[in-house]
Amino acid sequence: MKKFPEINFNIVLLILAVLIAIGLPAWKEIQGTGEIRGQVVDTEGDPVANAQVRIREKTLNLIKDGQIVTTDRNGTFVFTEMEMIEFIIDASHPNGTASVENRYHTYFSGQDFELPEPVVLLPESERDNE
Amino acid sequence: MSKSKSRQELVGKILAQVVLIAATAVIIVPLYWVFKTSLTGENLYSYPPSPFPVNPHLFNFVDVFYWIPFARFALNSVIVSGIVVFANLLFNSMAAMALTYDFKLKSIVITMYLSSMMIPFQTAIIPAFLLTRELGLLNSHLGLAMPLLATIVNIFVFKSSFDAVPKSIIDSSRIDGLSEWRILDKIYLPLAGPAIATNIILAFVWSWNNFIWPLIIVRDEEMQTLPLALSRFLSYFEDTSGQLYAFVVLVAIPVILVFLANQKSFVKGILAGAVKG
Amino acid sequence: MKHKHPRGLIALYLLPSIAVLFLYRWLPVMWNFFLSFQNWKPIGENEWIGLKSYQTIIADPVFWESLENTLIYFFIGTPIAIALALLLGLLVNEPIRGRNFYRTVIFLPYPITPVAIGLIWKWMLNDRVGLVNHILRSLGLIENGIPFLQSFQFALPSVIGTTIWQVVGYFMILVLAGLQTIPTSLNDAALIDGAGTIRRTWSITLPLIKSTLFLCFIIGIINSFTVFDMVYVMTNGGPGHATEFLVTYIYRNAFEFSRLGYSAAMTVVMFIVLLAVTFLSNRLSGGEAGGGRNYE
Repeated sequence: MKKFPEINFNIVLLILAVLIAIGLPAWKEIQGTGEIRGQVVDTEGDPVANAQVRIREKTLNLIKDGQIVTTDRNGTFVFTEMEMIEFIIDASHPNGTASVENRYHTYFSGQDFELPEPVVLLPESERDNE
Repeated sequence: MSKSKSRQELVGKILAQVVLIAATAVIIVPLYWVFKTSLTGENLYSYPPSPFPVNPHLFNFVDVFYWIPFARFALNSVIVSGIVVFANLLFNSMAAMALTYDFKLKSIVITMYLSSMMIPFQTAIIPAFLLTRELGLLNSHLGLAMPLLATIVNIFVFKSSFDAVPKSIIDSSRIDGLSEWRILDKIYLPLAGPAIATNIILAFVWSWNNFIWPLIIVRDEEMQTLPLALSRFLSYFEDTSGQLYAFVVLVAIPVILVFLANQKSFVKGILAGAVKG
Repeated sequence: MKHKHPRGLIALYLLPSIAVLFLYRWLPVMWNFFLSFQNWKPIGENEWIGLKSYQTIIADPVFWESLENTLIYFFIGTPIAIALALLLGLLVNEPIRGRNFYRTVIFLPYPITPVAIGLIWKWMLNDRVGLVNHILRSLGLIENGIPFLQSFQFALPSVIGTTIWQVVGYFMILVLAGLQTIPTSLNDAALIDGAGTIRRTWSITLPLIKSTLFLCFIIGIINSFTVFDMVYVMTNGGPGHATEFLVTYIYRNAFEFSRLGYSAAMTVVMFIVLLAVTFLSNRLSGGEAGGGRNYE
């Protein structure tokens, strides 16, 4: 008789694990609005307005064309209703500076994500070094 | 004991440990390697390969989850295995119960069961396919489960367990007016804990690991079970070893966990199956 | 007390399992047989062509190659696996430190799905980044990586080696079970008489587990005739047909070329060969199969 409860417990754990593994991403996807936000700064660290920020989804084989938004007065930008897990962000500004490409990978599709560091606009000379 | 004898013994013991460690290494290293690859962020074609995960991250697992309908595949495996386990418990215990009686054709039936073990499923794939097609069960969970709904090994596992119950108990419960189903349910099964455990484990493992049958009857991508999806992953996506081996880890883990948690029942089932064969 | 056994109930309780066995074991045997004499068509009537499929089989070089590979697996792979399992079993049976750990680990590959095992070793044997080649190169044994699974000489040994890797733990457990039925008194008596370990093993232990070893052998036969999953993901019969086994060739003919009649004929042949080999082995060893001990 002792074996019986032992089996049940393991099976319950297993089923629980499966449900969590499937449920959690689904829940996150429903929860989040797919907002990806960040800030653009210059080499001094000051926010830059009117910069063009581009997001492109990276799938296995290719990098899709993405959206472009403009930063506001505080240099912040937000992309809405995104459903990607891996993407590339780069920015540029009419004054000729631009950022390098930064790749990010999230855990859930459709989650809200804030860029961990600001996007830095660099003059052309520094960009070539990267 | 003479000195040379005890030295001999020591050498023997050391030698034994060396051999066993070597064998263990041969087993563990490939498994570790795959596990490490699933966590790695390195460029997998860089040389030499590093023994530890470089830039470890879990994103390979995330990719597997989102690039393919992994959740759906896992669900398929779970459903089919669930059907198989449930049916095995039911059908096998019923058959074993029937075999506790003495009836005229008993030895013929037992011979029939045992000799079925000499007919491997791989020899039956063509007719099984045609049959499943006739029944309209291609591409269905039930169709996937059908060949495994009852297994001979497990029938005999139950039978051994039932045979161990003293006849007097059974007889007296009959006198008390219990129906046969009640006897199975209330007397045999509660005493058959280990047999039930073995049944569940073996049925689950066989069903979860099954590859050739899903390969044959699954037609839609969304009905694939995990091993089938795993084999196809390679053809969808070349050169994505990190993700592929994350997938391998995900498919292998449930069975490994089931095994580690229930080693005794597992081994018992293995032995029962082999001996009866 | 002899009571009237309820015949109807017995039949009812036996029915589901018998039905499953009938549908997926016995019926297929007969069905294959009849199918082998026909030219199966997806739509419409099959035409009866008699022994034509069998004639084609005899003339088919791939069939013979797959049969040869199957027999190689069985004659070479299985004894190696059993020998290794025997060695490891004997060692693990001794009271040494860590024996439970060793036993668990060595058995570990067995429950893992063969598809995963095949993919694991496909990676290990990769000519550019595989660990095996890396080790060989580090040891200075070779210059460039060996493409194990793509070479005509190494593909079959690699595949068979992988199956050995998975099955050794299983055979070892069987050996252990067999070893544990040997009464310790025998060994103790021999010890008192001054017999060394090797001598004891050779004269006492080995003869007594003959039936266990034979059981492993029979299982090995069945494995060699049913191996599919691993081969399919590792090489799919390639390169050429160097790793084609009977089951993979049957599968290919049935489900890739839609030659069901032909495959059915091959299945019939395979089944007969399997039975013959099993029967012969049984005879040669003096009828040991199943005549061993009861473990329950």
